[in-house]
Amino acid sequence: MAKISGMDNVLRNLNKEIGKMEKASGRGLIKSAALLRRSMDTEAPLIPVDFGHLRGSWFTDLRHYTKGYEMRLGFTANYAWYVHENVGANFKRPGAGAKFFEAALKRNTDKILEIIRREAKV
Amino acid sequence: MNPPSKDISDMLVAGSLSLVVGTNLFIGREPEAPNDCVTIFDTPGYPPEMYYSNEYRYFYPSIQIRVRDIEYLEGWDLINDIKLLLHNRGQETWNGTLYSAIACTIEPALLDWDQNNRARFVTTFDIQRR
Repeated sequence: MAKISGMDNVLRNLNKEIGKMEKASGRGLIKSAALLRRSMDTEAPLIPVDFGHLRGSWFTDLRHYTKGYEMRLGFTANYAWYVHENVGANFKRPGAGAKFFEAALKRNTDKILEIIRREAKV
Repeated sequence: MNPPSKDISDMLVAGSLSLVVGTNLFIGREPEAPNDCVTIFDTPGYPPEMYYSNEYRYFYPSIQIRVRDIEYLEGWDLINDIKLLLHNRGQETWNGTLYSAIACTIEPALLDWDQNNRARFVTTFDIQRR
């Protein structure tokens, strides 16, 4: 009967690589959040700015659970949703507009997936 | 090809919701009067599908529909009827454009009470068309 040896080593190395992938996925999420935030300040519709509270209330929260990473991001200003959905409003900042977050997500979907894929590559 | 707001306004007019363009249904700009009205806005969508030929075109626009009403419940009823009328529609041609899919992506919700104490509700639809 043939004997297979070294399985412990293979499993140990595999787990090590999976662990690295997980860490890298978290890094991909952080880079994606940075891309989104930058996009909202460089491509119209930009984040509307009056006193800057909304723009400054951007947050990202990366958590690591046993099943993987989870990232929450957005704006904590309590009027953020109102400004975001107020299509047709005249904002002070040139280039600013409603749907600034949704638009950034939509135009960057492919880029985000690519960043996560690239980071998670072993 | 019309802006999505124009074709969607035609769908709403045909949808027996008692909406008439220029009377209580508007595109792109919400007028001061009448109190009770519906406005359709063209909003940012996903980028168009990329092909290596100009012959093939497939677009992913979005629209926001805003309902304004003196009566909160009437306004909510109308925007909910609009959601039910448009959500999950597809494979329909309007003004020469094939609408493959229309989906409500943000549930109707109260935006605010405006300066004249009228309730304003909004909902968003993602569209696929060619």
